[in-house]
Amino acid sequence: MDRAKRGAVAGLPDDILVQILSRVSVKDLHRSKCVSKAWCGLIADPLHRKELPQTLHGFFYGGGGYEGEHSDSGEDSEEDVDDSASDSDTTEDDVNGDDDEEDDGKNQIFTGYGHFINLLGRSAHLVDPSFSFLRRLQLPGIGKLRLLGSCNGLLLFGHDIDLDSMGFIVCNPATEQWAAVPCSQSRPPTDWHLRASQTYLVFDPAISSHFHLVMFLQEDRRPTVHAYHSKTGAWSHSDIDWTEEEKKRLHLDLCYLEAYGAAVVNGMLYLVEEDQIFQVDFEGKTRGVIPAPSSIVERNPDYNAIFLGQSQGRLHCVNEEWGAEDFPSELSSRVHIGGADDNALLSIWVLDDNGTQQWVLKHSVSLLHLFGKLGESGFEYGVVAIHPDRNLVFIIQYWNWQLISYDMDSKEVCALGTLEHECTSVTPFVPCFLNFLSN
Amino acid sequence: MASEKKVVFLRSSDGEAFEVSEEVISAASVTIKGMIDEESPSRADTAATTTLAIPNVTAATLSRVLHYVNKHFDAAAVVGRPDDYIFCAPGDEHPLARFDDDFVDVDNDTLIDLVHAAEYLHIKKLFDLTCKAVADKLKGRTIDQIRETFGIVNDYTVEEEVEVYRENSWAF
Repeated sequence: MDRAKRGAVAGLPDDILVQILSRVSVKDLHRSKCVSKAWCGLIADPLHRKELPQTLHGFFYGGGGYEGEHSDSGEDSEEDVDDSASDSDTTEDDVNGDDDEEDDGKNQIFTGYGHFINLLGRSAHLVDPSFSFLRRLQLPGIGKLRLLGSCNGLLLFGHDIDLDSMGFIVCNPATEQWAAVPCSQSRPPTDWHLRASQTYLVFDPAISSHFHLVMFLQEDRRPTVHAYHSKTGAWSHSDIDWTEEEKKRLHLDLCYLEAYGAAVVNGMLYLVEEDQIFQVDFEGKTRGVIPAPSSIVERNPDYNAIFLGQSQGRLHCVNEEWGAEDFPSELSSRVHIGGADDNALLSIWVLDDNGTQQWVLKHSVSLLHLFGKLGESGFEYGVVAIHPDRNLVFIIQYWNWQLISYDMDSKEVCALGTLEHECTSVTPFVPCFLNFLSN
Repeated sequence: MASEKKVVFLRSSDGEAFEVSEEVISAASVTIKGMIDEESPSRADTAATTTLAIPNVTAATLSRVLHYVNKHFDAAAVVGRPDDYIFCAPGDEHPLARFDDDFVDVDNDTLIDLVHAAEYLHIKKLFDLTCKAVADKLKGRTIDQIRETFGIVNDYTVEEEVEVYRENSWAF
């Protein structure tokens, strides 16, 4: 190979190299740090954060109003949160978006958007939390949009077509591309909200630029699954292709799966139901059932995994455990206890994907350390996200609607801001600059 | 509309001239459209065709670029919906998907030259396509293969390399 040719890529200007790197998968991007110091520096440079695919930029939330109650339908308000903020009330929530021109605040439903918590400050990709580019379209037959979830940069919105059916919009806020997904032709009218909460977006740009929706339904008391594939533009419909035992386990509870009990890792959807985790492919077929992690050998009837998420390419499960005296010593040595006598712990587990499907305890932290208090009535919290490439979990404190982050490496708790509207749904946003509708 | 289309000539860095429809190249390239707009007052009353110098692009690359441009931006050749109309039925295969795949199925240097040309000429679609094709060359490759492919010298010390591998071990 001659010299001139060898220089080809090394001689690429940084901005072009960034454009190229913005189109690789998260894993490939991080691997690429090992290529050379120049590449590593470029990838790590905060200047390029907004271009490169790996970073969690923030969370969409909002529209916590319910029928008849006034709520914000999404005129923008963006809060900048200083990453280094360390104590409460760092964010003044500057909400003004109350001029809802679409209706008078009647029959409002939970929209799930309208606000954005920005984790990167000024260097973040500018997002429009009101999604005005979608609302400008004035698509026929599309009513109020509700943000249902996100997956690797794409967002899933549901909207009502009529009382009995709903359609979907999948969009990429980074590129303002979108695709409309018609409603699935299923017979019995199911409650819109229920159906919305059982629909999952599966998108993994490292595998395909196509996305899938997987929707679980109860039809004639049989669980069925509907799957939509953007490549074919069609829904497929089947009874759940699961064993009787699996069905029984997932059973009617399917309808009440928590939004935070689902994650997409390597193109597979994972759903948690009490102490079982179902691995589901994009056609809604189970590939496996994995017991949820637990330090306690005996199965605990009260046991619940409280969060499932993807970080660093692996499935993570977060649960709350009690009774440190029951823990194996191997665990207690790694536990970070805030010095209290209470022994409630939040544990973060990683699924070892080297074929063994074993859970490995990654970290534990006492609730006292996290929240500085314990045991009071109304003491409730929810794990809402795990950082896709850092050892950070994000938690809402429901008693004061604070969003906090916990860093497993530094053990630091960081207050990120107060959520408006007492909103329980927070949708993480990792921009993706890929052209998701193309091949 | 006059039946004969206006054409312009583009002269590559190595002196070869290529003929292209003014309408097509203006739709494709922001840079060339700017050049043509600048020229237009002086040539409005003359029948002479314009020749534009493209000093940063070689003949080999320019001819490929024009091949792409004629496929993608010639309204007469592209039947059906506008090319960048997003709301296509999701199942539709883009009519030029196959062409695009073949277009970027070239060696690294040719591809990099196309990235440069697309950037200089400001042809966004071509820039997106070629950047993606380069990015695909990183997919699933080992670090050594990436260095080899892109001609990059490893400038890490052994200790530094151990550390950067450790930090990013999850990505392997």
